[in-house]
Amino acid sequence: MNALLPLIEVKNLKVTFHGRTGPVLAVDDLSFQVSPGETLAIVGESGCGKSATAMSLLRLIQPPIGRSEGGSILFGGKDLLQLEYEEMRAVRGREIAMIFQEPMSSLNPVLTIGRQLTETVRVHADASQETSRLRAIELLHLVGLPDPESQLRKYPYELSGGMRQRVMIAMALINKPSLLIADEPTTALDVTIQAQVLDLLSKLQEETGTSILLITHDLGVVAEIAKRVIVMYAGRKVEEATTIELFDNPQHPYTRGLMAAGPRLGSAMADVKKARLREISGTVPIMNGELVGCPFAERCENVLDQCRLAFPQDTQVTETHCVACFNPNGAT
Amino acid sequence: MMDGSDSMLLEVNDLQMHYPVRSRSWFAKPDYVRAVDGVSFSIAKGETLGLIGESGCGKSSVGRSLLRLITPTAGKVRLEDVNILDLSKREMRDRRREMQIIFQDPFSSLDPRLTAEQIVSEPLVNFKVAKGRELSRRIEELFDQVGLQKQHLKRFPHEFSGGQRQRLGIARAMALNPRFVVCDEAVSALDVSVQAQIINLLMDLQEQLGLSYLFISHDLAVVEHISDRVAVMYLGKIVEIADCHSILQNPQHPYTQALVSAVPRRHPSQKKEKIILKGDLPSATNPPKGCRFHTRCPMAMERCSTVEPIIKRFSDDHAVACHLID
Repeated sequence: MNALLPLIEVKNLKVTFHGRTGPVLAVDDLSFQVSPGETLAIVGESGCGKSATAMSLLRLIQPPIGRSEGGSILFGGKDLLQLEYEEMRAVRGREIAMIFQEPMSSLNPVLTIGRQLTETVRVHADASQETSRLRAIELLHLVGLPDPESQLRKYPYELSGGMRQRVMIAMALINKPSLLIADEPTTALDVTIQAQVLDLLSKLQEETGTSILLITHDLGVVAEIAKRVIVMYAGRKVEEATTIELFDNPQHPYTRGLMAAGPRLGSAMADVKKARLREISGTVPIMNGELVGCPFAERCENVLDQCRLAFPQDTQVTETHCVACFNPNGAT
Repeated sequence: MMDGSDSMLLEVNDLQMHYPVRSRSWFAKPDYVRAVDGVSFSIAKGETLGLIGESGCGKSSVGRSLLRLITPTAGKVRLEDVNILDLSKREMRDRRREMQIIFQDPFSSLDPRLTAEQIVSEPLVNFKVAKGRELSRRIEELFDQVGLQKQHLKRFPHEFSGGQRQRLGIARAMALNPRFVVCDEAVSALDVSVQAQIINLLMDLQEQLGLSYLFISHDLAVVEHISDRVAVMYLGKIVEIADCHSILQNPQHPYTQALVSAVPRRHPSQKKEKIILKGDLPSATNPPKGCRFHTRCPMAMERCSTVEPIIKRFSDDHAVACHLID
């Protein structure tokens, strides 16, 4: 994979939420690592545990809502799950930063952009008012906001969605974090604005060398900027590969289903009535801990008897490609 | 744009929807958000017209004014021979049997205190279409048509998944055998595997019932899959309208070109030249003079900032509003 040591290594992570009718398993036995400077995407549909994974890296899932029940998250020689509260605070924003889907709800509506940016600078570095203001201007310039000085005086509602997301990215980059977690960063944006923001993220990565953990439901966004991908389904990692391998040679029936289900741009032929899309029948199971076996079994075309008895181990396809499936090729 | 042959079901002429906004002083002239500013198109029987554009371009306002859920400021909407904007409220109520809408978020458009059965029976009861045994038979038929089971009848909306809720919304829209259905971002809130189920369902229903759709969406790939023709909107105007194939393979308006190029690639090794537009959508209260797109257009000329282009036929079924076409 990479001769360098991983920047962050997640081992056997398990996250549960406390539901009204008992614990709900959001992430189950998840292991992966992110190398320095790489972009890893976690892709999956609603409820697959991708956001829960992202949030538990920053220990944002706390009782009574839920907790990380086991495993470890090794980052810079420390296990983040074992850190004291104050130690964890020092990691957040400084070494690992995060941007969210809806920048309007992540920004404070009653403070100006300038106030929020300079405050963040001053919390992390003992800077004067003037130096932190200059740093804020520099950052807004970096993320491509026109006329940064006048933007500082604006309130979040005065900015458009794309501009707000740029402000969030600027704020996340203040301390030059080594890992940036982007949770559906472009989902709320229009396609032309999405193209701007994805372009910005790849440029910033080239300039700053930060690693990006991208959480998304959109395989198109993965194809745009990720080097490697993890596909999650119902809390489990079902496939991991380089982006090229995953698109060239998807192994898991769920990954194949996802790729076939999306309408393909440019498939319209003149005067030909369109074919039906390939759907994945059924819905995602409820993960209350009663399910044994592969969670995709009920919707899977290649299902075997053993799929309902145990979750399959990872099988290596190539050195950089592994899949958790008993029957990827559809033998009966 | 199109000739008014007999096969046309719906014809929209110069539709305008201006929302008043509070002005700064009592004495100032009132301001208007020109959400829809002179839109014309037509939809044939059994045809799907895709309406695409980014947030705030006015596409939902178009959909809603066609059903008079909001009252347009000006224009004509003819369903066959009747201009529905001239109808009285009571006449309009009757007409709505033929025109229905499916919304984006089925959770906020379904009454949380009614069961699935009540939700679907409401239109049938209101219009006195069916009652008693006939009513239950029709509901079961509708449930079957949209892929819901009998055991779902007594459930409340919160007990359904997103895809099932959207099926319920579709069953309600289909209850009165409409001829024209507006799908307003009907699949945008759904996961891709479920989205495929709903798109297939909408296409199956169209074939069985001979429906016409106005399919409003921001997702070009989805619109391409389901539509026969596509109209592209920008700031309250249609900038390009053509059959699906031409819009994607041969887009003429710079905005359409940018929109098509901005769709993420399907494969990481696919080379795609992106046209990255500068800036954001200008305000619809005070749209730019001349061509509304000239502030962001990579090919803007001097004329674009002064003279507004009118929409002109480019080829047979392809019309564009851009000075570059002249």
